[in-house]
Amino acid sequence: MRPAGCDCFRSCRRGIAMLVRVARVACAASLLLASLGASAYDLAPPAPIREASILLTGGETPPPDDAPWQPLSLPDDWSQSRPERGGEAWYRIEFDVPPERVALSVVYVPRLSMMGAPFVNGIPIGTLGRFEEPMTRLWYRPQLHWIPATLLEPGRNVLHYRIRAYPDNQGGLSQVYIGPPDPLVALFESHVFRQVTAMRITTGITAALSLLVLVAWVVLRWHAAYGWFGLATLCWTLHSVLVLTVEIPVSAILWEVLIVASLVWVIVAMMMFALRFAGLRRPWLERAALAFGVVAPSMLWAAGINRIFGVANAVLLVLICIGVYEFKILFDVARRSRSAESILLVAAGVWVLWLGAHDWLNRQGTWTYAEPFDMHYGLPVLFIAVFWNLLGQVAAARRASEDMNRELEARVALKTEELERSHERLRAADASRTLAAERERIMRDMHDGVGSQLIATRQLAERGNLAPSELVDLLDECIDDLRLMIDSLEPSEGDLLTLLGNLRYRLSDRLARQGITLDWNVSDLPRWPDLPPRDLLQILRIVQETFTNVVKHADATMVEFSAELTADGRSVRLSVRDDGRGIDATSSVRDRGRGLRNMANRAAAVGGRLEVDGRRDGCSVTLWLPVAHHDEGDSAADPAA
Amino acid sequence: MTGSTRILIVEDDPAFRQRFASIVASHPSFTLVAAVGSCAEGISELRRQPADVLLCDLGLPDGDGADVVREARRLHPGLDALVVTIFGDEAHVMRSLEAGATGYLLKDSLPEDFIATIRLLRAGGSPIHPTIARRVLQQFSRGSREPLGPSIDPSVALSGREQEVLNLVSKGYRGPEIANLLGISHHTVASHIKNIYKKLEVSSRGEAVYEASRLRLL
Repeated sequence: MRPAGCDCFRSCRRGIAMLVRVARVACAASLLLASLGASAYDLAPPAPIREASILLTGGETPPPDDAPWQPLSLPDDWSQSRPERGGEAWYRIEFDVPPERVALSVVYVPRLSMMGAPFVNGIPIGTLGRFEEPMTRLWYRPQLHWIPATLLEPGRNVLHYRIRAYPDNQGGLSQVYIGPPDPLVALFESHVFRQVTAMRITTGITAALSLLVLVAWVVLRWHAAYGWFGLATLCWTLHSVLVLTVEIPVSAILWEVLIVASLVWVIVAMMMFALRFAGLRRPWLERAALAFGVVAPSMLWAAGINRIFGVANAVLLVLICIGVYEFKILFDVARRSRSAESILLVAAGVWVLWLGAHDWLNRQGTWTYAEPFDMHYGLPVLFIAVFWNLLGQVAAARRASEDMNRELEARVALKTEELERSHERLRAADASRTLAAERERIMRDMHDGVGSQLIATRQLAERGNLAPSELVDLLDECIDDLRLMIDSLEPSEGDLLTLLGNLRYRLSDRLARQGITLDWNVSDLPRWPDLPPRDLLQILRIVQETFTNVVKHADATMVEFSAELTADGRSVRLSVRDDGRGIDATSSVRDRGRGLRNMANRAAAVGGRLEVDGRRDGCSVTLWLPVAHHDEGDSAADPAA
Repeated sequence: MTGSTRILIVEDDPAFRQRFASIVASHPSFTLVAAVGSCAEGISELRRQPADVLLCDLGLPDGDGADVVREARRLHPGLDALVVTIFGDEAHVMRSLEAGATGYLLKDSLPEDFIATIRLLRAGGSPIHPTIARRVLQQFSRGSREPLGPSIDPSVALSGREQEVLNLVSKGYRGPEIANLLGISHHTVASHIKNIYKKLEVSSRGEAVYEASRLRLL
């Protein structure tokens, strides 16, 4: 049913409108949240311990003090200090504890990689995770450990750190903080918020965004650009979840490949999106980028766990280049449209490029070992900016379609009105044509009938040789004809009998005065709706004239009128028969002959035929009229039946 | 004065008024109440004194003769209203019949026709013509076709016999012939016609009420 379909369509549109509003509020809220995260509080850290020594050996317990420890200064980034070196190592850190702090001290390590476990005075404190494959992934996770009071002695104590890392993967140990929980816990928490919690939040937002966009893309059949954008956000969500996971369920190589590959797919999908967003197509470039999305993970996989991080550095560099290209595309769009949304988009793009460069350089050891990676503040912001733009487009499209609908409706209304007006004009023209035709007919009838009769009467009266009774007769004829005209104008709907009946009512008194009895003998006649008034008038005139002749000339005592449908149903027979002298016996044969000719002509004009039988014992006048259309003519007026 | 028929004439043409007045005056059983030339005068005469027959022209200078007829029927329910027309054209006649007239007269009628029509009216009959009969038939059949129309009231629907009479009239048959064809007396035919006119008046009044209620005027 159409109304139901309409309702469905309308509610669907309402749904989209609601979605747009909700999503815009969510965008604003998450931008605010992200900025809060970015400005995480920054307490001044207590003096960190930099002096340490290292022993490149494995083992589950700290090596003895007399082992060949080599002194070094923390932080120690293996990618810088020991390129291509992987595996295990022990760090030995001596620290002094004042007697008042023996009861309550913590160890805070801003960064270690990949897996580490602390020992105080040879006893493990809070070892979590595995050193065996698949190794626990503490690659980028601040560590805080409470030192049990029983382990510490006033004065000198020793902290051992067992570390295991992959080659060129920023393995190593940052500076170490040992001291009272306040403010180290605060410092730890601020770092955890900035590096972990904030990332979880933005990942949640990204996940919701990708769901929203992908569902909208599938269900509402949005443009392909939205599909690519949804894929990019989905891949970023995957990447973040992979990075955030500490206990990895599969082999390290697969995990590391997936981490880099998901980032590759984010950037490739964003490029596909950017091109479509800008209305551009670069088939070769697109194919190359898609190929890169397959080739890069394969290369990473082929490199193996010991060389994967070197390859990853190169891949990330390529991604930054693609990112610059994407930025150029978006920048061109913004330059063209100059809308607030696209300026926001460019700003987000600059922000992402900046963070991308920062994180890549950070991997190369440009800043301190514990410098955070910040891309989780970048891409989600860009995603939100893009989403904001898309919503703007959807809203604009919706507005445009509404405007178009309104315009269409207005145009339809206008056209309808025009049509109505032209119909009105046609109707008016039609009516005036009908009116003109009718007026012309009445004029002609008056001219033929009462008009000429009046003029003739006037001429006779002028000559003075007219007796008053003759004058009355002539004027009566005028009035009779006028009445006939009025009768013929009645909306009789082709009811010939009624009009003949009217004529009879008028004539009967006159006949009675002459001593003539009238035998009225009519049977039902078919309706004659298309009989024009002019023809009706002619028929009535023939009948009236026949009766007038009877009254004037026939000297009859009886006249019979009959009307009937012929047996073949194709014509109507009207007949007036009197018992008078007959035509031949009348005195003014010439006048009567002219009158009869007139009547015959009238009969022919309506497609009928007049038959006059002037026998000696009376006169019979019969009019045959075709029942069917007048055009069919004489064939219908067959007297044989 | 019970034997005398009191007649009021409302006609604006002085010549016709004079003619009607002299016909009435010349007849011993008719009494002329007044002969006036406008609606207002006619109505004030009707309020002043009773009349048995109102002879009224339709086109009066200050209004419609049908209004005079309606007022006369309201003031004097026993009154017979007769409208005078030049041609007996059906639209005018129907309008006056619906206003409550029970007869009509052609202006050029002979004095004998004039007197005969008034006598017919007083005797309980009514004049009729074929076109009027046809129009009355149409009027009633239209009312019965409209399911919510006012003429559904059986008291204002035409009886079978009345329809037969009208049918025959519309074919040109006259009173005595109809009486003959239907096997009833001439007087019965005449009273059928008058009844038909009264039903027409009632049904048209009902129609007016129906129209008014439809338009929320009542």
